[in-house]
Amino acid sequence: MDKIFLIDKNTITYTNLIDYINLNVFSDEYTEWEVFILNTIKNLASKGVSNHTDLINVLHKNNKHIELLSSGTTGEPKVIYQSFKNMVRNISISEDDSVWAMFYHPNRMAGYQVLFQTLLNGQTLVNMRGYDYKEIQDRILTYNVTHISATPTLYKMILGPTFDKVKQITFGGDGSTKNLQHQISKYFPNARIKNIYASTEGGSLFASNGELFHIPIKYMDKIKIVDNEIHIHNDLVGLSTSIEMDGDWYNTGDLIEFVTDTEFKIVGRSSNVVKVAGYNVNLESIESKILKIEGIKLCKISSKYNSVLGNMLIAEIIALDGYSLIDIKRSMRDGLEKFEIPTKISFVESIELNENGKIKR
Amino acid sequence: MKKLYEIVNEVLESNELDTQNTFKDTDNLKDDLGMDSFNLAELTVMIEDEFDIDIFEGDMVFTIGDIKQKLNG
Repeated sequence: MDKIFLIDKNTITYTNLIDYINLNVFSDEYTEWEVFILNTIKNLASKGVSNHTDLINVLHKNNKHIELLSSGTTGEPKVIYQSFKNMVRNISISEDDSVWAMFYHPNRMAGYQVLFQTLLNGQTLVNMRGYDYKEIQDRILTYNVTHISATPTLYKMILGPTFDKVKQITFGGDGSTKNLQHQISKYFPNARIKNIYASTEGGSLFASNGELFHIPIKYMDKIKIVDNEIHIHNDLVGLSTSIEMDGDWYNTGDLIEFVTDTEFKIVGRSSNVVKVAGYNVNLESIESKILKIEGIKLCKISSKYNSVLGNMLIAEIIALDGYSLIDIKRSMRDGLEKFEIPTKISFVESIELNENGKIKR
Repeated sequence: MKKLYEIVNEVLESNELDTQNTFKDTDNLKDDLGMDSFNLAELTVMIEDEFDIDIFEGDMVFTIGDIKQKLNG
């Protein structure tokens, strides 16, 4: 067995995979990631799963909980217990030979989403974690990856060749704009774009085929928007002592912007909003806008006290060869509001990402 | 003060404002050199990086002469 393909319905069925695990065949040669997935399957086996139907029954109807870590974009990761039902509610069952790329840490919400997607559909999973960006490009091409779910930041880093075998690219994690998605999708000419909004605390909540989301009818009384922030009802929230509830509601801290009366886009986290010269500025929105500028590979925006503006923006930028600071600044003046242009801009070699491919803050 | 003039010109140039061959102490940063508050913020950061002094902390600064006074303590 090629251990890259852990869940390949052509070579391994759930039953013999479970036998395989029970025989303790896997050894130290497996990465932490692979052991995690094997243990998840073993965990499912202990709940009586021995075939595909059992798996669907367990995941969709079982109220058992699974331990998750929140992504820890800010602060320490929290441990949350989420039901299988909440985690798989937006995964559809289909018969196809999709090959999914796994970019996320598997014990986070987004990682589980991809893992359960492939498990429920008997699809193939290709690990991308632990590889550099060039190797990831090669792996997408070599293994004929058809489906990718990643943050806009990660997509930006792997752009280069044309990935014409990819049929679907899913954006999750960071706030991203239609323009940025359009720019990324040029490298995936045959892929449809999907957006997903899931939080560790609330499970998978919205999925959409475009940039805009709406609250599904079934969740009309379970999800509400207050001051442009998404609040979710207790019924959808996982169990944890570290989730602070406001009565029956949990404020996710995720900020949205209404585009029509009922449709909205996710623009970032409320904790990433600062006041610059009197304007409320969302650091993630600025990053998305700057990423659209030609010559910029990746960008991190932070803020710092400034005696003139109150707060100023600081940009760390990974630029493509041949682009100068003057070029970048000129493009920023053309595409950004004055208060959105970082006061201090520096070119860097690398920007640290967290476990889920989001910029570490 | 040569370094200060260099920094002021650098900010002017990067913001597509007219650079100066000579500076007078009475040159007003906003009225004469055309800087807005965002340019001034950039200026204060560059001066702080070079001289380790935040020129806009405390007394108001309007002119080149005011900056020099701040730098000279």
